[in-house]
Amino acid sequence: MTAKPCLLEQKKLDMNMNYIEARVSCITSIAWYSFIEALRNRLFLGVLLLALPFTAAAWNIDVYQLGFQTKFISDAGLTLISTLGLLVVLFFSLDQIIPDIERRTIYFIFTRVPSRHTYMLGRFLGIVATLFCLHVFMSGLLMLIIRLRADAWFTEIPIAGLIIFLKQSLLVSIVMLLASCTSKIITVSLSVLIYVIGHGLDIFRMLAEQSGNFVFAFLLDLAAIILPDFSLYETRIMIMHEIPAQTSALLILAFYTFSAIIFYLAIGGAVLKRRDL
Amino acid sequence: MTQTVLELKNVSKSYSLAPGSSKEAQGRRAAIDNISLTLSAGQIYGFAGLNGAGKTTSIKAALGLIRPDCGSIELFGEAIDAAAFNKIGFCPEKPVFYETLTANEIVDFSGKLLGIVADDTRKKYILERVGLYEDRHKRVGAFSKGMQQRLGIACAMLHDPALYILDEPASGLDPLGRRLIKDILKELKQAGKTVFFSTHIISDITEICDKIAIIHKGRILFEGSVDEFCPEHKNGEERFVRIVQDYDRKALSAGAEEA
Amino acid sequence: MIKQFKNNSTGSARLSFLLVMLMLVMALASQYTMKARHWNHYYPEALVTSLSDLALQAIPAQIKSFSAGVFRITADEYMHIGPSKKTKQNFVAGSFAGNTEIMSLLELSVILEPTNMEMYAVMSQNLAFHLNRFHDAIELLHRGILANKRSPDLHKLYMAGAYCYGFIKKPSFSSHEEVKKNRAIAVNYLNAAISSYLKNEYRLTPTMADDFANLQNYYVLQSRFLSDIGKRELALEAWNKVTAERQKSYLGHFFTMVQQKETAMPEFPDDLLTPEYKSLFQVSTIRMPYGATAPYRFWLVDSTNLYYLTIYARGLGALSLLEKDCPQHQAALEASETSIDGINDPFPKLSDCGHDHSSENEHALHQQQTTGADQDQDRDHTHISLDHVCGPECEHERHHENGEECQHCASAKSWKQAGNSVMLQGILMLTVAVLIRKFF
Repeated sequence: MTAKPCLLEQKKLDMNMNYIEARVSCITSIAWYSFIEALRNRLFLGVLLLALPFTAAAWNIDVYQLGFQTKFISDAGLTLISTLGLLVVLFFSLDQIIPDIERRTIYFIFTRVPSRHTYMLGRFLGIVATLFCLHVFMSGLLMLIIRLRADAWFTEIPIAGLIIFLKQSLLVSIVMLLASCTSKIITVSLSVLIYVIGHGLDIFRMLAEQSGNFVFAFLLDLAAIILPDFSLYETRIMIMHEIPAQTSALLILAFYTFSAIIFYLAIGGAVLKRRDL
Repeated sequence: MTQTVLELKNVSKSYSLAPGSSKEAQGRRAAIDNISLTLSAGQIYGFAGLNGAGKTTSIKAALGLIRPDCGSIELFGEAIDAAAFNKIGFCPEKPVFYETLTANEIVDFSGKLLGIVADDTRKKYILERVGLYEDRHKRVGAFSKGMQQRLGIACAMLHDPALYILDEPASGLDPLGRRLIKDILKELKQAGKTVFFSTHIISDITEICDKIAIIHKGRILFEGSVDEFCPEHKNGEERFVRIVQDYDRKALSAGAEEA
Repeated sequence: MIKQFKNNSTGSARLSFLLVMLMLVMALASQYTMKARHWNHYYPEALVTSLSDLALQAIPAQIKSFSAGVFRITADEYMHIGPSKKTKQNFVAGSFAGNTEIMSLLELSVILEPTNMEMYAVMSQNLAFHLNRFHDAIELLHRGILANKRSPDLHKLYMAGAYCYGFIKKPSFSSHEEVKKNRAIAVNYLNAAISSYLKNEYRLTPTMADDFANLQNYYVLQSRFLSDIGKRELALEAWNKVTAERQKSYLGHFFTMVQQKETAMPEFPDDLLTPEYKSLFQVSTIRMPYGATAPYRFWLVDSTNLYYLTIYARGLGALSLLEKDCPQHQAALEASETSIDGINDPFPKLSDCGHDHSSENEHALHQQQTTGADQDQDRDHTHISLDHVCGPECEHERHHENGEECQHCASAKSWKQAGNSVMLQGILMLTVAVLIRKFF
């Protein structure tokens, strides 16, 4: 008895798709269900609930009734958005690849998807969607609070929210790269280390140049090519001085983020492809 | 001529032992050692072995989840590639799903991963077949082990593949669940599907399968038809035990001679 | 055998590494705990009145101190940035005066580190003099005094109290009775400050010295306030404790008059300064109150906006004022607004009037010195860069525009420079990613 050709089976079910559609369907479905999973996670709810007391504090922080402190609220609010985003990045990105491998849920995907790069990209997009929701909610809330209390629209805040979102998306890709080849504890440690170094890379390089240590400076130059430069995502001056970011710089930043994300995910996918599961 | 659906040729895979293991000094342990299997279209193939014999490793190698140290694997006459997954329905041993998703979402997810859009009729048919239609809106986290196993089978069946690879599909199921799985396997056989399933319950193999392979300590000790293995499909378990014990005895004496 | 040995050695190396790490952590933890305890001993926080205070006590002092420092630095940064334009605030950049933004931060800082006297002083003066909250200011100082009863720096808080009472009412604007009443209270605070200082003098280290809150200033203020409330004999007694060098002032002149028992004595020493004040108030240009702004990474923002910002930060006041005052300046501004690539110098050297009228000549000279290639490069860069906030150590004022390296502002790049390198890195990463995807 011979087996029926597979394509015929699929035609019988009227379920055929072409190659690109299938690949896109894979990525979007992984992303969508990762997003649904994250939204249903109690941790996400916890993160949102954590934001509420801080939001309430925006009204009550002022002990001397001197009025609403816009600068302080916007600064603290963006720091809070950044911190909560960081929590989401660390917890949810870690909750993707490593537990999938440990609990063997990854078999469900890897026996269906055409490539492991697809899985990486899908998972990444899922987290990014979660992060995006968080940033939209938090930035919107912050802008609304300031509008209600200070009677002015601070359009810099959503822009700053976008820049923080780009920065954290980049961090997600790094966490996913590390998660594809190491354990949880090493992933967390290295992610935090890269995050810290990435913020001060230009300062470290400047210090190395000033100290005259050429070897160290060269190593830092090398690191600057491979590691992400998080200092590019500095929003403080924009927010504090109430001056708008320029579109060209934002576009360059978006391009840089996109390239760096693809770079880290490609490495992660290549590592995962060579890994026995 | 019968089409070869799955073929493993001289496949070996060894793992490094975990630190602290008593055999640490040996460095690596072969999980499967030079195994060769051939699965023809329309066959129900039983892959029997004790726990830790190398059944799951062989299946993982066949699916490309691990990279073998040597040997070749062919699916439908070609090396494993992305397109092959559309022709395979795989259900792992103890399938684990994303706990926050419902059974319905898992089936949908499975379909989308394979690049197909399963309509409601198909989903209903599949879920009813494994007895989970009533529980389709429950989150998988609330499912029992048996329910998860049945959901795994449902996902494997969704796209009506030509080849089913099932890793111990009946493990951890109650008698009713086991009966259900057997019925499904029989239906697949009638539908002319090829099924490769591993188990350590020999009676299941003698009842359903056309062909059997026995793996022990990473080596294939027997491969042949079920009739050849136990004529009249009786005393299969005794035959299995004898084959395994004979091998162990020979290995022990060979080891003693070497020493 | 060799393999076994290798495995054993790897295991023992791993174990010893873990052991070393454990010891390091223990050493750090013990050092940290000891330091924290020592810190608490040095500055015992006297008041534990509520649950939140108890909770605060449980946090190691160094962490609290660090957090308080972060809040202080942030407050300082807000102070330099200036007011929020959109919410129409009107305090002056570069001064704590009237800046409401800093109050919440300083309050948090004070809660976390109740031993930092300067913060009480800044807050109380801001509250009393600029935010119309005199009683809150005094309450805050009392809170500080209670929390720092045993501190050798306690005199600073008494001094802050004396300052608030002493200067909240000025003879030029308030009734003399009111001024005298407040200065009588200020004298009490000063007496407390002096006695606290003398009592703890042996505990004061050179690092605790303060330019303002020191014994000499206390005597000066004491003599002045005593004189104001009519106790001129006591005032003279206090004045005699002031060093001869400090006595050379208008107050010295006043006390000489007291000693000589002149008949035409003003009621307050301040009255001697009335003509000086009059001439002072005629000066309209406010000079730069502080130095260079912090070298931010500012590539995200438009350089034209940054230009306005820097003008503001350098204390030149609002742009409209500059335009009104100086037509030449206005022309330069217009040129820079229309073209970022323009070659006009937006930050000319300041003349006595606060504006520059000779920048064009200097710029022309500099242009002559540069090569043609340099000039091309010049146009590629925005001319509004950090070179004007670098300070005098820069050899060439326009070195950034010529692409020259500068160590003390190495991180300062024009947005185009930064953008180019970012683009380059992005393209490189994308190429590598495509190669990885293709071949791995």
